[in-house]
Amino acid sequence: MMKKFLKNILIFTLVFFVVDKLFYWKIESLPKRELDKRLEWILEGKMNKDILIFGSSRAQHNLYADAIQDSLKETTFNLGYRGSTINFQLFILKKVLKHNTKPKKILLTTDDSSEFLIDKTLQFRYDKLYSLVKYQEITADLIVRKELSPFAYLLYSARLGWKQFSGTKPPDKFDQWTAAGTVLLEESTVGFENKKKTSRKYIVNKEVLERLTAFDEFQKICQENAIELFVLIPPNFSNINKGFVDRVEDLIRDKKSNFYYEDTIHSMSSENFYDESHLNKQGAVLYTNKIIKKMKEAALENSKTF
Amino acid sequence: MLFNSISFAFFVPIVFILYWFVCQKSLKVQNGLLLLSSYFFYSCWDWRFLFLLLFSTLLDYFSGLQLEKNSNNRIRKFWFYCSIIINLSFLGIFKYFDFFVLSFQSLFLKMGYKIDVFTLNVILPVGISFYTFHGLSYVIDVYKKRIIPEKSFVEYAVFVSYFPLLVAGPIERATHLLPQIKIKRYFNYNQAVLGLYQILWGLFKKIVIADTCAKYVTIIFNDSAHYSGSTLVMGAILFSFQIYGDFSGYSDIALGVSRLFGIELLKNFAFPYFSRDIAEFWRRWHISLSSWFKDYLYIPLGGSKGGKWKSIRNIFIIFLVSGFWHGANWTFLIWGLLNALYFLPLLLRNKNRNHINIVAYNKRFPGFKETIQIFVTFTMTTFAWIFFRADSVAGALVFIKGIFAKSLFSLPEIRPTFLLVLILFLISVEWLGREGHFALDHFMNHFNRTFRWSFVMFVVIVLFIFGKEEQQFIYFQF
Repeated sequence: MMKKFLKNILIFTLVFFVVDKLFYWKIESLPKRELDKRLEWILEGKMNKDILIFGSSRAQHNLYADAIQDSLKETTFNLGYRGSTINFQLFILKKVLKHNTKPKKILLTTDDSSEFLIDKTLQFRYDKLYSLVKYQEITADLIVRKELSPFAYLLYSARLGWKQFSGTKPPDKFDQWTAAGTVLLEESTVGFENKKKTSRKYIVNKEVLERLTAFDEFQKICQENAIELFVLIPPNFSNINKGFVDRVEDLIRDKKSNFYYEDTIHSMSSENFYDESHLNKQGAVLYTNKIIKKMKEAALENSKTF
Repeated sequence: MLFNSISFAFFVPIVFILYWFVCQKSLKVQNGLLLLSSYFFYSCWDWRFLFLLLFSTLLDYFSGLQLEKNSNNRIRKFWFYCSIIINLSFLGIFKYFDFFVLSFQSLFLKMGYKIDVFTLNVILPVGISFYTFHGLSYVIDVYKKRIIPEKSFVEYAVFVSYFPLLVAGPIERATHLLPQIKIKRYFNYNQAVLGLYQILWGLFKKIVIADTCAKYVTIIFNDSAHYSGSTLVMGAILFSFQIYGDFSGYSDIALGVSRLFGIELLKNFAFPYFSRDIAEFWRRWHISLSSWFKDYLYIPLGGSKGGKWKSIRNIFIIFLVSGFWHGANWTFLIWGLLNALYFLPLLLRNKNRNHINIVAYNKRFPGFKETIQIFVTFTMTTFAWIFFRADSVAGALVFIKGIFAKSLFSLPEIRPTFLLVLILFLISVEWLGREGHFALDHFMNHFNRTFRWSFVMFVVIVLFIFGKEEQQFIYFQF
């Protein structure tokens, strides 16, 4: 009786193991459904650039990578992911360094004021990883982060989620990348320009340790790899958050790092904004030019030092 | 250690192997293994509460022995009430103390007096409502001389803390479980295979149905003021399937795991959403609790003997107590009250035992009348579940008010097509298997091995696809 029971379980397991392998084709086809190919290029070693831009939507939309590339004559690519946390940006940095040649410079934008706070708008972008489960290392990362069960090490079906069986998302305005990976937003949304400019108090006690640690590790990796890091706080139309600016400055490991805060009140009007916290194309060009200038100044400073 | 966790997936096979290959020669060793495994399983939640479980077990065990040893009625009464009061005190302190204190505070505040109160703010020991009821039924049965007390502490302790039923039932009876613990078990192939099918179906109900419904239910209930009436109806329906999938799924896993060890537990669910009236629903939903209340509360109160008014009073008492058993919140009391009100017309017209048989027995589909009856019963139950799910009575009322708006006739903003297809699959399988002990029991016997294996393979694959994270079972909080 017991022998039969165990034998049948064993046979079933073996048959299941074979059937599971049929999901190989599904897993292989998943990256094709993802419109954003940047992470896949990183994993395949196709992200060998001199300058990389990291951050959330403020990096993705506000920094015109193509302009930086043309102006500084250094290959540049924008790796800003909308709604991503510093933990996700750190994850991307590690993947870049693992599979590609290290960049010379990194521009990292921070989100005023939710960068280190609990904020639903910023997430670890697991959705970007699910389509890449064909890569064993991505599967392993998802298992470690408890997004997949440990069965995913062995079984293809355990790497899939039901959303991966639904239809492909049609491209929208946030999926229109330039050659260097920036998404420029046309014109402005309605209504934000009447929003009162407010000064917010930044509460250090509400910070999330995990994000602070990630920010510190990001800088440490740059230091260890001799990558010149520029920490930026991009313009914000309605927020004047001096507390956050001071806090970011405090958290910078190497006080000689390049830190640049854009004081919106004195430099940008509502015509330069897409909404209260993102620049439109016109604003992005304007802001990127300022950053290019800062980078040139920094380069000049560095050459004097040597 | 949740039933739907990786650790449980390793725990059960290890205990299974030790049970059938190492300890099978001696019943005492087998029972000892079951007890140790159960205590290990319980301590995985919080080892400190293991002492509470042990104390409750020792108390009821010794009370049972004293009840048998003493023929003096006074001494017997002392031991009986001692056990009942201590058991209920633990339950009261951990589960209801804060509720009563805060309710009094709120009452005084309404009268214009602000009083400071002391609350415990302790977490509820998992399974306390279930093992306390095990102990209570045992002591009551011994006191009433329905059973003789168990002499072996290990065997009694296995009855109270047997791991498949320890944290969320079914609420077993000494008359049913203890005799099985006391006799030598032999491995039975068919019983073990059925056990595996039942575990699989339980996991499907929990992981695929309940946990997926939960995601939408949370979104809709947390922001009910901003959704259309039709979306709120969708939320209420999804919660009906969430709680069914969650609790009956748990029960299926518990019963299935127990079958692997050669022990049959009491059936807890019998396809309740196919009920034709509310009385039938309560004969099919959480059967072990309903029958516990019937035997240890309704009948001692006089049951249906003693006239209509007494019956009505007793029905209201058991439904209110049942509501309160689920949790210390007014929402559960209202849920109990609503069910009592649903029951009342059937009782008054002596129609509460109209539907004892299985719906559409030996037929493929229900008749028109039966379909309407099933639909009406499901609607009433779903309406009552709104109070069960809501955080507060005010929240439930906002939800209900939102349903009865013009937007009830609009398309829901949330339309989880994928999930609705899976719910339809669940209903179809349960309908086909409604004449069996559980959905796959009867259903699987009608097909050949190729179909059975394909079906199982399909369910396992769906489980892997949906089983991304471990979700707590709803009934663990009770």
